[in-house]
Amino acid sequence: MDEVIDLIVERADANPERLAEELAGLGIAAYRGVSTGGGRVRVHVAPGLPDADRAAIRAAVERHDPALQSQRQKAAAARRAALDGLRKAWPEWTGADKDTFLRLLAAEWGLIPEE
Amino acid sequence: MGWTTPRTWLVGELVTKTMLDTHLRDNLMALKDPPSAQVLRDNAGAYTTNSSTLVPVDDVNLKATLTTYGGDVLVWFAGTFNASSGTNMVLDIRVDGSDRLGAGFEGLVAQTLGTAREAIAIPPLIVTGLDPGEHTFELLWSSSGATIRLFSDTTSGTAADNLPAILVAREVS
Repeated sequence: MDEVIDLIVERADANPERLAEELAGLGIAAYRGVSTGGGRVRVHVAPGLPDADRAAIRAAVERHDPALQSQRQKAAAARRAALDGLRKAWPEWTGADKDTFLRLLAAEWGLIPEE
Repeated sequence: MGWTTPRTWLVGELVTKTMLDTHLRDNLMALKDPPSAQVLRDNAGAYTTNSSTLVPVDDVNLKATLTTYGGDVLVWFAGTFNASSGTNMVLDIRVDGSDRLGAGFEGLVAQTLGTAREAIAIPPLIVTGLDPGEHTFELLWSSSGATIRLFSDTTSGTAADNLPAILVAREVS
């Protein structure tokens, strides 16, 4: 078990996926991950974190907006919206609808990555 | 009433009420009601992590604490998990804030998680070699990448999320 220390910020409202992206985006090598629960955000880092990195992590947690979505959440929302647009009778489907459906299906099966 | 090491009786000695109370009554009562700790945790929301290193799920509230008489302790965990996308989760249990029961292994159990909920348990394990006194047992977890969730709620608008995280420890000898 690697040794880690926790930077703890008291806040109950977090979007864990988005926050994880934001923290990873800081490019801090000591960063090991983030946990939420119990009204706290705990950022896991390797020991010996420089003060500047510590401050950057704390600032990122404090300015985190839980209403913002992660890249995966945005992609999932776009996929749901695209599927909703296809919920209509077959005769109403256009060529673009069929392209959309094929793109979603290919992504779902892992044949072609989603854009 | 606690456990007292049973007396070795001597031939011809006078057995008093105090001796019988201590070595028979009190010990039987101690065996009937051993030190136990059961946590059915309501966190008012799921716990999450994407930590690549094993970390406590909640080192304050999801921790079983009991004061033992020097015997073995049976400990186990069960909970319901999912992940934001496919990822590998590892679970372990830490004793007294330092000793991992799965030491030498990656952990005690591992599971590949996806978006569907899965009930996962660490089966009962006997922890030996504990001195008499207070001991703590905490759940640890890690993820190979995506954010994983442990459901622990009673008030979610999604009924299927209203599940406890269960951690139990009990002295058994």
